Formats: sequence, structure tokens, C-alpha cells
Amino acid sequence: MKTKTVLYIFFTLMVVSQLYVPSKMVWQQESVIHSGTVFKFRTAPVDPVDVFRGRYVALNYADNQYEMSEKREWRNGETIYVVFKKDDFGYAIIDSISKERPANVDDYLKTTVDYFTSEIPQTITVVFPFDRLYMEESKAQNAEEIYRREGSKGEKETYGLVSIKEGRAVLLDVFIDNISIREIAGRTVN
Amino acid sequence: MSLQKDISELVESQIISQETADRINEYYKIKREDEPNRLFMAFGLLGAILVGLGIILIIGHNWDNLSKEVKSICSFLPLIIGQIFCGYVLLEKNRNKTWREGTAAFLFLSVAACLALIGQIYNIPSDLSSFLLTWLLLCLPLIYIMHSSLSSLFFILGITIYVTQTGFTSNDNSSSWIYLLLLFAVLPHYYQLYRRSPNGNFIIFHHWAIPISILFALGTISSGHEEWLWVSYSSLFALFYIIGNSDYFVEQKSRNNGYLILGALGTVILLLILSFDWFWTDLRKANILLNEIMTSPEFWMSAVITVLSLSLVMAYRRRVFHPQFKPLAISFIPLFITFIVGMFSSLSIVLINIILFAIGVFIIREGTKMRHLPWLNFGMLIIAALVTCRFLDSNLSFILRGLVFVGVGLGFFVVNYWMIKTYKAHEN
Repeated sequence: MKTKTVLYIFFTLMVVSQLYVPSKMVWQQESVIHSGTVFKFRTAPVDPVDVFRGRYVALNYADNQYEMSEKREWRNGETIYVVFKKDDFGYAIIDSISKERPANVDDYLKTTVDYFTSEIPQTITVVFPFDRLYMEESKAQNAEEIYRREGSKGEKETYGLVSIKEGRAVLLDVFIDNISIREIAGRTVN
Repeated sequence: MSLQKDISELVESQIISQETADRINEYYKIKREDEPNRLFMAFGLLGAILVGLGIILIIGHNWDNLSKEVKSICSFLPLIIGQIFCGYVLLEKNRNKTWREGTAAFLFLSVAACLALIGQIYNIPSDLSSFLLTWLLLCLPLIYIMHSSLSSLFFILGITIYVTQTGFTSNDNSSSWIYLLLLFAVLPHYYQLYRRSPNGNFIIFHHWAIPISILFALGTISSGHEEWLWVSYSSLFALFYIIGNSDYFVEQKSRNNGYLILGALGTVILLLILSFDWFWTDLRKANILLNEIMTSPEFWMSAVITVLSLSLVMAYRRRVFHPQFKPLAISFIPLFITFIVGMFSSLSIVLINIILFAIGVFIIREGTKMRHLPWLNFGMLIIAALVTCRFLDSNLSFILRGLVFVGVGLGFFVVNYWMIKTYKAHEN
């Protein structure tokens, strides 16, 4: 009987933790969406060899490089904290990069160094961890096609709308000339 | 049916009495009742897995018409259903193995589905290794709470993907140590299985899954001194081979003895690779600093596995040398010496070829004495492979190479013919 009670206690603990972890994910993302700072990230022309990814649109961002003002050693894959500012057109660009969590700032991104060039001027390419927009299966392929066509022409404004708060980022939508890619893809499919 | 027929025939021929026949029948009747219905088990598990995957795919469609909140709730549904089923089985059907395994497998997949679907709804960047780690840690208790061997097999597969995915793609080898901890976490279940059903199907799958997983994981500890990995692997193969020769495994069918097969094949393949010159040329060129080696994880892992293998050789020394000498169990010792020699001299390449040739000869001898045709052929295959490798890196003419291959082929034919003839003569 005692063994059974212990078993039930462990089972309850397991059930609670299995529900807690994904719930926490939802809560964290909702918190970023509702109280984060929203930035527009300009996307880069798409590499034509980039293969179709199925259920999501794969995004590349334009302004993910930063020239360091002072010389310091950085490792690829190292954790960094990035603070953004808006350029003259309202798009997000990197304001500063540090190894330590920035004080008195809420809308910083915790991410990693993608690539570090040690030659002067030292440049850091930052991983933007919001490079996927999941969509309904049937629309995703269509959307990526549109994003590729419009993005690589470079004529239309293509950007990702991202909410950032305390290190986390949530990609809200992708826009082509201020129209949501979900809307465009839905329209073409229908 | 055929057993009944055989028993009646034996009674009619007055080889066994009616009483003995009844006792045999009674024995098999009890055995049949005790044995779980394997077919039901197999289809039950397959059904649970398919339903689980089906639900994941349906939700994975990512219905755009549904709001984020509804989609999130839907992602939790399979998880909650799985938990309710497991709870019900735990309370009501804890003795039914099929129910336990089926519901645990369903819940195992549901946890992954829930995490992946939430990630998809919120466009969370995919980080496979942290996803796998979260999933596996959340499901580890299932193995013990539900006594689920299928969950244990999923878990072993999961930690193997985790360690290879993380270990081979980054310089940081902390995932290798996490892997080791997770592997230790599953070993008590393996032991329980061994105690409860030492000849069951699930333990046989574990006999293959665990050594294969370790083989993959060992490579991920590399951090600049990869040459020591060869020593680690040679000791590991010997370790597997000796485990495969332990009392319990000797009684198993060869195909159920993953340790023995992986250990034997692994050692031979490793030695064949090392019988080429390139490895030794690179080893001599490598700038070896004692301080660096002493602090490398490869060196320490080699040391630990080699000590473990040596201890097992000592513990099983009777079995290693009697009734026939088993060269594969101790091949890591001459290989280790050759490795040290190889750092300074090109003599090592000759030594490796001698070791491999000697192993081939000993195995042929063992096969002949034991009248074990597959083992005899394995020995001959080693010699044939060695000859083939040496001919690959020599400049001999095609005619000469052709003649040697014809000779090796004829050798196989003649020896097998002679062995089969000897067997028949012996049986008669």
C-alpha cells in the first residue's frame, strides 16, 4: 500500500511538471506579446538555394551585423545581449551588444554570436532567433513563394514584426508592403 | 498442435508414459496462460503510437482559422488524454502489460507533441537539443512509474539523438556528460527487466539499443585529441565482447546478443581501418604535448574504458582463455601498445597487421575446435579482408591480385566443404 501511495505521488508530480513546462512557455510568450516592445526587422533578399521548409516560412534578416567600436574577443555561439534602436525609416537596427545583461533596459534580446570576424573592424553577425513563421500547411509553401519573389526583387518593403521583452522575442507576423503575408497567401490560395 | 501430435506419437511408441505426456501437456498449458498475448501487445502498442502520431499531425496542420488560445488548448489535449489514460491504468489495470506500455508510449509522444505545437503556435525558434532534453526529462519518470520498456527504448533513442545532435555540432561537450547521466538514469530499468523477464523481447531490444547508443555517444566527447578516441573505441568493443561472453549472454541466441556481435565486428572493422598507413602517418605528425593530452576528455575516457575492460578480462579470465582462447577480448591491449609505439615509429603499421592476422587465425582455430561454422567463416573473412586491404594499397598487377582473390575464394569453399563433411562424419 505504501509503495502504491509513493507511486501515485510520483505520478502526480510527473503530471504536474508535464503540464507546467508547456504552460510556462505559453505564459512567457504571451507576456512578450502583450507587454514587449514591437520592432520592425527588415528582411534580406532570400537565398534562392534555400529549400522549401514545409510548414513555415524561413526568414533572413538584413541588419544582423554590428561593427564593434572597441576590440574584444568573442566566440562563435557565445551568449550575448543585444539592444536595438530604430533607424530613420522605423526599422530596428542593433544599438549595442554586450556579454552582460543590460541594466535598466527591458527590450533587449538574449541570443548568440553567429559569426565573429576578428579583423579590424571587428564585426559580429548575430543570430536572430525569430526566423520562422508557422502557417497553415496549405498556405505555407505559397507564402514562402510570395516572400521569396517579393523579397528578392527588393522593390517592396518586407519586414518581420517582432515583439521583444527581457531577452525573449516573438515573431508576430511578416509584412509585404504593410500587408500581412498570411492575408496575401490566403488570398492567392483562394 | 505439432507438439500434441509429437506427444501422442511418443506415447504410442511407448517412449514416454501417458502420465509423463499429461504432465508435459499441463506444463505447456500453464506456460501459454502465463505468456501475455504477444500479438495483442504488438498491435496495442502500434495502435497507441499511430493514434498519437495521427493527433499530432492533425493539430500540426496549424489551423489558421482557430485563434491562438484555441490552438494552445488543442495542443494540451493529447497530453491530458495521455495522462488520464496512464492514471486510469495505474489505478485499475496496473497488472496489464499491454495497457501500461500502450498508454505510456502515447503519453511519451504527447509530451513531445505539446511542446512542439506550442513552439509552432508562438513561432518559437527551434532548438532541437533543448527541446529533446526538456521532453526526455519530463518523460523519464514514465519508465519507472508505468514500468514501461517501450518508453525506455524511446528514451534511449532520444538521448542518442540529443547527444549526437549537440555533441557533433558544437565544441562544447557538456551534452556528452548529460547523456551519461541520462543513460545511468535508464540502467535501473534495464536491470529490473533482466531480473523480471531475462528472455523477453523488450530486454533483447535493450541489448542492442544500449550498446549502439553508447557507440554513437562516445564520438561526441572529441575535443582536439581524436586519436585517443580510437583507443577508447577499441577498449569499448572489447568491453562489449566480454559482456557478450558473460554467463547470461552465452545462453542467449547470437542474434539477441548485441554486445557480442557489435564487439566482434567493431574490433575487426576498427583494426582493418587502422591497418592502413594514413592514421599512423597523421599520428606521428601530430604535435603531442603531454600536458594537453592529460587534460583532454578523450584521454580520460580511454583510460576509464580501458581499466573497465581490463577488470572484466581479469574477472572473466577463465572464460577468456578457456576452453578456447578468445583474442577479441584482449585485442585492445596489443592495440594500446601499438598506439604508443605508433606515436614515435612506423613499426606500428606492421604490428597492427600482425594483430589482425593473429586474431583471424585464432578465430579460425576456435571455430574449428568448437565445430562452429559461422565463427570459422568469420575468422576466414578477417584474413580475406586483411588480404584485400593490403592489395588495395599495393602496386601489384591485376593478374596477380585476381589470382589471390581466386585463391581466397577457393580457400573459403574448400574449408567450408571440409568442415561440413567432418560434421556429417562426426554425426554418423
